[in-house]
Amino acid sequence: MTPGRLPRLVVAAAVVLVATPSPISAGPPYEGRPLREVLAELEEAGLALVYSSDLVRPEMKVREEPTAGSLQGVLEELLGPHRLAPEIGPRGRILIVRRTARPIEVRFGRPIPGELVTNRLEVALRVHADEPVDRVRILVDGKQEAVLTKPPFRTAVDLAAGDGEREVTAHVEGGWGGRGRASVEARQYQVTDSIELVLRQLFVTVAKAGRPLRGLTEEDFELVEDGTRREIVTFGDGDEPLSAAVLLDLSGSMSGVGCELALAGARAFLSRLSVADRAMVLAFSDRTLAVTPFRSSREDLSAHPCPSPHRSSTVLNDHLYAGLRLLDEETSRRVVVLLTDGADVSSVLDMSDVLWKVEQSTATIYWIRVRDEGATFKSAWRGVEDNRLQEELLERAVELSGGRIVRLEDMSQIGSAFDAIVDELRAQYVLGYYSEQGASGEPRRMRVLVKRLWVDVRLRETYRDD
Amino acid sequence: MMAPPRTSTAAGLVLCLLALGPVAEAADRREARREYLEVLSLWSQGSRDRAVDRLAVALTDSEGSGRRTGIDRAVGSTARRLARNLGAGALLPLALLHEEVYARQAREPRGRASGALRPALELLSIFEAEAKTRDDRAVVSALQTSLAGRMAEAHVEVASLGLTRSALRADPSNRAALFAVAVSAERFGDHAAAVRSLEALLRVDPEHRESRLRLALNLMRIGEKDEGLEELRRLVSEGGREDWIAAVARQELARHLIDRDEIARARDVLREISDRRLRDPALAVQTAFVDERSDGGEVEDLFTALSRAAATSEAPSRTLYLRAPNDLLEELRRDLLRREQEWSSRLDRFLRDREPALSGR
Repeated sequence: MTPGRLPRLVVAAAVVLVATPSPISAGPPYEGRPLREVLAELEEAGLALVYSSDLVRPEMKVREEPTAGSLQGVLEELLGPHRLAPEIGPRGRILIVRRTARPIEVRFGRPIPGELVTNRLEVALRVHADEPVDRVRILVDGKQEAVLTKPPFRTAVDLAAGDGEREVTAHVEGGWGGRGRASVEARQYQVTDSIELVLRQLFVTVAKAGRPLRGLTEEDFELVEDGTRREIVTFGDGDEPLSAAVLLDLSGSMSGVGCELALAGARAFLSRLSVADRAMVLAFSDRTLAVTPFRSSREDLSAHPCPSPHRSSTVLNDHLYAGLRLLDEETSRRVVVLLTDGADVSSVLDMSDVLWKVEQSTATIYWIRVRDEGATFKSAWRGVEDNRLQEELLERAVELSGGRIVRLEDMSQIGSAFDAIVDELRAQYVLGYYSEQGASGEPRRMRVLVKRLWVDVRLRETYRDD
Repeated sequence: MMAPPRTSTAAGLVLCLLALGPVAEAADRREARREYLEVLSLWSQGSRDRAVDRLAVALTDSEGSGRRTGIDRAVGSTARRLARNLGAGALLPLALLHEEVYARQAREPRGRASGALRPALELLSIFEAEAKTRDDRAVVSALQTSLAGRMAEAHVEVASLGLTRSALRADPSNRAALFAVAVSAERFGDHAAAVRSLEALLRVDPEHRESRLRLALNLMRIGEKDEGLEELRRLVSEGGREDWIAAVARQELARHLIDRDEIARARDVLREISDRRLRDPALAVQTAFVDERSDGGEVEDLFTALSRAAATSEAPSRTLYLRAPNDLLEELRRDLLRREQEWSSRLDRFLRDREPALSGR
């Protein structure tokens, strides 16, 4: 639950509510107890609750033990199953009101639009709900084929033999009244000879004299996988939707002006994404400072003010891994934009672990490197040599992902660095091809030839089979 | 009558000025001594903030002047006189006052702390020279450790380490000093020295958990993996203690298992964590990592854990390891304050009875 869900006028009160730790660990379990009794207990603990007996009726019981970490979350969980919700009222009071059903966002990961399927249809859904999901119904051409009641919302549906378009629909029903729906069309074909093909997408940046080169067509590209030429079956340019994880290091020397510039740069970056794009922000120092879910709407970063300047170390590896992992559920082109001025200090993961993740992922990493002094420090966790190795591995990870390092001389260039990355993403070509499924974990070497002179071509050159 | 030659008038003026110089210096010294005794009097009567303020201002304002020399002399002469009349223990309140002034100055944005550090160190060396009994030496050792801790906080690390080593010479069983030396050695990458200090500490205080954790990690870094792992296992299996120490022990144990590709065992180690500690981003991320390595886990769980971590004000476990909170140092300071209470009242009586300079206050 985020403060953004509460009315704007009461953001300050909402912050207090969100930041207030839940009292649930101190008291007896709530599950099964009358709701009124539990609310009375919260009032005794100092919460100013206002509700009518028409809404909170004596027979209402707490359905499940709340698990949220904040008071707002706990209240949501207590009230949600009864279609009620907390709302900040005048003078910091919390009004209990009838819940307005909120739409549930649902997207198909599989099948992708136009995907060729055989008699077995793989379905994978990404569901964003501010409430528990009761069930997800999967329909093919209007006929219910599966019902899923808990994540992961993945299943396989056996289709009757046949050829042609199949409309796959997902209906999501939330436990607190929310509903969501999404549809996608897949193309079913009959198998006459079995060869397992995987539709892969390559994101290719072509630059001339350091500037993205636009206007190329499918015919300008030649694609080679493990030495074998592959036919390009889909072709797109930079308008392909993307999912971006914006990772902001706000530790130590990035505090103060650096932080303001970082947030301004990230804000500008997000404002330039299109409506089809999705983005999330993960801000960190020696801890997680803020994390937002992937959203199509532009994230309001004003909700994430800069932390007060203080000396703090950097937990870079852990947050880079987290950003890559969170991108796994995204179905469009995956991008990490990492802004950091230094190397990792105290992550639990080694950069070699992150490199493993980069190999598994298809995300492209852009590293906005604020200063380039090299790792010359040591801590209780690592010595100078090991820190240098961490930086080298991060550089390797960026290169492996098909991204690049944007080096900055000073922090005033942060905004233009974000701009340059958006420009590059908008000029990227997206090549789709069918690849034979190999043994699991086998790396595939990719090469893209562009039939133009004096151009630089950049892409992720190695993929692993899923 | 002949007028006196002009040259002799000028020479007379110079002679007068030369004669007045020492007179002015002596006045400065008297003034500085009186001021210092007033500060001591305030401190011994419990007006600690006022005493610290006055001494800090006096040291800063007089830096580089004759008055400053006067204050420095007053510190030395007063300390020796008190030790002679009341015993070495009487220097305890003075040492704590100077430490407090140094700590205050070190927190100032512009570095004025070195001016406050000199008399604090001078006082400790007088105390060390005057300490004849084992108990006095233990107090000196504690005071050196405490000041060294302030110096480390102000990032004067090398000098801090030197002073901590002096503390250990005065009292080899000083736990806070052993801990500080170990932490410092670890930061400088001298893991063998860290192990030696931690082993010495654990001989005195076998149950000190943070030292056990640090010993385990340093042992592993010098190649004594089995011994280190054994200690980590003990730390995570001590029921009901899911503090930051257990959290780091768990992370490092899991990390070792991941390095050995024993992902399932690493997962078991992390699964036992209470829900509360999942607010620690390191545990959340490591759990997600081992889950993914074993083809399991939900991305949603990682998001939830990170959201919880962002909502908490608790410092993450690995940051606490870096900070090395040194609870032993806090314990040592509490003990010094307890001892000081007795000496403060004796000091106050002495100043009232024996210092005519303060009679008009």
